[in-house]
Amino acid sequence: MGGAQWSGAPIVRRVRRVVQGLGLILIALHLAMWLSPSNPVFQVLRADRGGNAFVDAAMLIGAIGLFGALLQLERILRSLERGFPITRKIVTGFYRFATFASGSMFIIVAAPSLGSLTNSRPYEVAITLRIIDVLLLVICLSFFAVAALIAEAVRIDRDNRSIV
Amino acid sequence: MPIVVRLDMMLARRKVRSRELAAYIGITEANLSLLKSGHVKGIRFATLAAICRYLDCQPGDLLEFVDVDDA
Repeated sequence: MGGAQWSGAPIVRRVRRVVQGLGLILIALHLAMWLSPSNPVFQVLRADRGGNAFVDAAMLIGAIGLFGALLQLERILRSLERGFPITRKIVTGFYRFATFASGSMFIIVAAPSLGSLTNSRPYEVAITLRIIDVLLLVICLSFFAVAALIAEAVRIDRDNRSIV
Repeated sequence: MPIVVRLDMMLARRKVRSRELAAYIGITEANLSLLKSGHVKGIRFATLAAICRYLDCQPGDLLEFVDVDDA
C-alpha cells in the first residue's frame, strides 16, 4: 500500500521481451565481432576462437538460428496463452523450433573444428568438442522427441473427437 | 465406410426429434448430426446403448453393413 502498484505483464510477454533483447544483443555482438575484427574489445573473444573469420561467421549464423528458434518458441507460447488448443500447426511450429535449435547448435559446435580446416598450415586439423556442447546438442535433439510425442497426442485427440 | 448409420430412419419411425435424443444421451446436436450422416469414425457402446434404450430398438436397427463391392 502507498507505493505504485505494479501491473504485472503476462509471463509470455515478459519472456518475449527477454528473448528479443537477448537475441538482438547476441546477433549485434557477433555481427560487430565479424565486421570489425581489429576492435580491441573483441580481441579477447576472437583469440578464444583462434581468430578465425570462418568461425566468427559460423557463430553469427548459429546465433541467428538460435534467435529464430527462440522466436518460434515464443510464438507457440503466445498461441497457448491465448487459449488456442494444441493443433497440428503448433506441432509443426515445435518441429521448426527443434530444427532451428539443433541446426544452430550443430553449427556452433562444429564451427571450431571446421574452422581448423581453413588453416593455411597443412596436416593440422583440430577437432574441438566440449562435453557441455555435446550436452546442449543432445538437449536440442531431444526436442524432436517431444515434438513427436505432442504430434501423437494431437492425433489421438483428433481420433477421439471423431468418436461420439 | 461399409457401415451405414440408419439413425435418421429410426428417428422418423419413432417420431423423435434429434434434439430430444441428443439431450437424453448427453451429446451435442452437432455430434448427433455427424453420427446421423455417418461422418464419425466410431460410436461408444454407452452412446449406442442410450440410443437403443430411448428409441426402443436394437443396434442392428441403427447400423447396417453394406459391402462396397456389392453396392
